[in-house]
Amino acid sequence: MNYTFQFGVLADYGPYLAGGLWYAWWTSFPSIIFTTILGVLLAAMSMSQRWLLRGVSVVFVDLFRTLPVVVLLIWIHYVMPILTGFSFSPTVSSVIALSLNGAALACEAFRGGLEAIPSTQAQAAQSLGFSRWQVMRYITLPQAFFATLPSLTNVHITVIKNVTVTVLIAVPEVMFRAQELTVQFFRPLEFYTGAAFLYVGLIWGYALIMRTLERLQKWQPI
Amino acid sequence: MATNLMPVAKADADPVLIRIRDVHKSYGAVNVLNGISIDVAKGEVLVLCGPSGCGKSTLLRCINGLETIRSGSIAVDGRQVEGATPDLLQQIRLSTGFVFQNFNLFPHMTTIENITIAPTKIKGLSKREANEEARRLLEQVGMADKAQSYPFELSGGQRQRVAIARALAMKPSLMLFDEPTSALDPEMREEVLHVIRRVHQEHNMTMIVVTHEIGFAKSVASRAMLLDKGQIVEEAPAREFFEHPVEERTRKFLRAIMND
Ligand SMILES: Nc1ncnc2c1ncn2[C@@H]1O[C@H](COP(=O)(O)OP(=O)(O)OP(=O)(O)O)[C@@H](O)[C@H]1O
Ligand SMILES: [Mg+2]
Repeated sequence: MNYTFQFGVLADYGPYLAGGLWYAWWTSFPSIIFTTILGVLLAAMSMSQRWLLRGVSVVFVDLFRTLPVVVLLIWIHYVMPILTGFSFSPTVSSVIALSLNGAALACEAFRGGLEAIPSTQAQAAQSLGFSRWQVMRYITLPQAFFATLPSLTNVHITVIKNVTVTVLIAVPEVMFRAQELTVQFFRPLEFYTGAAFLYVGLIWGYALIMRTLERLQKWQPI
Repeated sequence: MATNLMPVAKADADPVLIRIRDVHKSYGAVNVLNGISIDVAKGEVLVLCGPSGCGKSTLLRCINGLETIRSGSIAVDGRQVEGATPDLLQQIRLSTGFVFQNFNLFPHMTTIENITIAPTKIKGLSKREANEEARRLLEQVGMADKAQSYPFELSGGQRQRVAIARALAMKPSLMLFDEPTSALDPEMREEVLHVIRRVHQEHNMTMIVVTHEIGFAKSVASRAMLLDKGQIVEEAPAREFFEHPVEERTRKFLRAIMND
């Protein structure tokens, strides 16, 4: 190996590279929010008594967890405008793609959490006069939420990692900037290593926040 | 005089609160209830006993509309349970308190939240009203000092007393108890039975109690009944039922539970 490392370039261009985190965060954060809300909704639908709601949930999950994110992203950003005449900015396209994919994963996580709640909980609530929807809202979902937090964190981390594919449609996040700088200075190793550290840092930070959230649970299952 | 023109409510004229007629219930191919007919009068305490799997819990769940029956009819306070619309079913459940063998408290809520969630979310009581009422009930079941505890911090007997308070908070006219003490250690049973006894005395509450506590049954129940294989084997005034059972099946069953 006769490559000489020159991490000095990072001193000059590191801040520009790190600036990509801003875009990475503003692509992943809305996606995480939509992923979670959509995921809860889809999980609740999958447990509905109405076959139509269950059907929509199943089709959605099966479609979006099978579609590779790259295909989905390209389709939304380049194909959909041709079909509909309607186009989004790269960031919006990315958020949509990451959210659809993430929601399918989050739905499965929430469904696992919901199914783990004993049916006697719903029975007790129904006997007090709660409707099926209220049982979900006040009894099963809040319990399932905390049970699901660790796997939900995994889903969110997947969403953050998926941000790197938005390089394909030129969202100026870290990977895009690393590529840009590499082309300019021919220092792939330094810039891509820098990008790796930045993403690891972002994800560790996020996981730390989620672990704090887990500690907010004051109750224990019985 | 105007007084003799006071209308007499029809519901008051009918002394029967629960009317069960020829109820059949099956899970798939398994017949669990095979033609049950029971009348329970207002203010009456009916004790149900029977071997494990004979259908006691299933019967209580049917009365609460938590299960659908295959045939027959169940009416609570003149309201038909089978085929009830969601609204009617809710009314029936609001007038019925259900206490479970395993308490089924909501683990993510404190004692007081367990008790106030239904009155606030379903009856629309303000938080303050609901809290006041809950504190009164907690006093009544001897749990006032545990209002802010979570269920995992309570003993079995304490959990069951909270569960009873939770049911009472909806001001039901009827209580269903499904083996309220069988998951408890012997020392904790008495505290729960004591609470049930007081609920009956103070509210003259109509109750169906599934229990194998003979002492409790003799002192509180007006009638007792043995269920076996989804059928009523014997039915008699409580004292007579436990002291002079007629059926051989009942004698055998009572011998078995006394040897426990
Ligand atoms: N959800 C269900 N699905 C299928 N079978 C059931 C279900 N619930 C109860 N059973 C069956 O119905 C029968 C009666 O059950 P049930 O719980 O009413 O009995 P039990 O008299 O309350 O017994 P125990 O004293 O053990 O509580 C049992 O054979 C049981 O296996
Ligand atoms: Mg039972």
